[in-house]
Amino acid sequence: MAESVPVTAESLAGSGARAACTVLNQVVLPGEELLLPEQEDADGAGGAGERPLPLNAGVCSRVRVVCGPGLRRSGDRLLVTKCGLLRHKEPSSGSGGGVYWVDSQQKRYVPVKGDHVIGIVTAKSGDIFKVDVGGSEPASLSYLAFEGATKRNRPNVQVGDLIYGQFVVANKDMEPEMVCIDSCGRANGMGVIGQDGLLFKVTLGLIRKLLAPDCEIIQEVGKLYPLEIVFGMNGRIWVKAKTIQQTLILANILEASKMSCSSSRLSRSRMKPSGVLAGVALSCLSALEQYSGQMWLFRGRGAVLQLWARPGLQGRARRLPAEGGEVRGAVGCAAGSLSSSSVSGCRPRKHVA
Amino acid sequence: MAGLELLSDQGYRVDGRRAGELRKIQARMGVFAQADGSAYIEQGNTKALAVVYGPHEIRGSRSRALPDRALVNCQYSSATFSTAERKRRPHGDRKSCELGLQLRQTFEAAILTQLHPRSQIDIYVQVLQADGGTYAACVNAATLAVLDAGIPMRDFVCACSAGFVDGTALTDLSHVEEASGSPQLALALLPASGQIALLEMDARLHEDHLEQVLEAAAQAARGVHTLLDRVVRQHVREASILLGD
Repeated sequence: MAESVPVTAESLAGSGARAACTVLNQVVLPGEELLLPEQEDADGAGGAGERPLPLNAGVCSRVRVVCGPGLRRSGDRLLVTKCGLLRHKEPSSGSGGGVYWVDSQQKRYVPVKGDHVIGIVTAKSGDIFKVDVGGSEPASLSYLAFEGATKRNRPNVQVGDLIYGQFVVANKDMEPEMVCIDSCGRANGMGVIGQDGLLFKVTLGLIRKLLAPDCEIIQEVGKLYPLEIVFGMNGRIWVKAKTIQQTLILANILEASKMSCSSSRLSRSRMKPSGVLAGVALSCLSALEQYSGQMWLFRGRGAVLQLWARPGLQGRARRLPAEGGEVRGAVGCAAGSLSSSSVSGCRPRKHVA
Repeated sequence: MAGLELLSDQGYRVDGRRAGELRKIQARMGVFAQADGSAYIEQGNTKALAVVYGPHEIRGSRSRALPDRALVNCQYSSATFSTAERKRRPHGDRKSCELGLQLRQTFEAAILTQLHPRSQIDIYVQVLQADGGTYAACVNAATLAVLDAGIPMRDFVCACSAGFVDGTALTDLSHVEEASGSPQLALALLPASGQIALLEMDARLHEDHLEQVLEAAAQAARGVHTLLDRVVRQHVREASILLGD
């Protein structure tokens, strides 16, 4: 039971700062210090190639590096303040050293200027609405910050409404302010979100993943049936489809997509459904347990998954004989749990009410 | 307890450890989905659970809001079944309040509170099984929970208890050793810089021995840091794999 504790060098942050470029896409932890690239050149031996003689000897010219979330400047080094993976983005314009930031998992949102968020109106006081965005303070929204709003033509916003807007003021010292128009005065999709639909919360990392340009899940989901989705950078997603069941399925798929496996990993499992959506749909099957006896068809990249929920049916998958060249994969789920040996990384989840 | 020697002639303690050895530590992050950050740690038989919410709006009176930094609110609670005899009051008694204040002092030193003015960070720690070193286990669990919540921190906070028996400094005391009446201290350390966040002792110890005990506690805290470091790296890697990185 007792364990001797040799202090290993690789984990000692005090053993010296490492160069930022050597730990890219690796885990960094608070307490570590990172060196910026140009400092190594200055410290290293004046090596190969000709270097112009600096006019003010002793001061190395610094490239401007932007310090993103999770990093702080401490002297001439970067101090890591959150645990996560260190990322770097090259500068697009050619000057400057790019951006360094720490990709961390978080559930609590901190307002950032320019972010589009979904807020809930909590109070109306005079000319401004108080909107809860999930941060440490409610944001303020002026009634004039809607498209076509004037003093006489007030927008129809009630307490409890959902608002999609962006932050114009968001720093740690002031109360955040949001607006529902862009700089040209057009709504551009912002404003009050309509009736019905379902609002639920996910982690911030999942939102970023879903909003990435090459996200396959959104493209697949869009082919299912007509739907509306609004993503807020504060971790809130609003979905709406024609019926309540479709809406709930959509919500479950998006929540379960944080455990989605890539197609290459799925091919190693014995079920071999194709398409990213297939893997995601499988992981939210137990949420359908209450819809016993009903069937939904999911199309994903050429394969059609037929899902049904019937208590007592063990979780397994089999391919039904193709009809007209269509391949069908069928999966059933027992009430409550999916056999975990078949798909890795999936857990039974309760559906969002 | 006649015949119970805390340190045998060969240098073994009651549970078979050496003087400077830690108990087995197992920890997990992200145990609760509802909270912003959570962690669970087992140090030998001591089990502690920490949950973090924040930074969120100040609850209660707005006058408590600090204009330039966040308010750190810690509550320590030990379950009624955590000790050998059933405890009457899980929280609100003197010891729990004092430990809550000590936790608050510790984490105000480590969390970068000036990044979230006028907000509040709640840290709730619950001890499920107490076998000595409860403060240290709470600090270690709370560190992991704060990291899980993504709240910016200067550094890890690692804590360990140490005692002094027969001229030797013992680290990571169990309940038997704590109840023996020998002097003991609790140390919370920021490992990267070696700074002390909190040092607490309410016994009598000759100052000649203080440095030895302090050094032993610091060494043990660095050992705890090694283990927690591994736990956090593993958790981050798993989380990024699940998100399909």
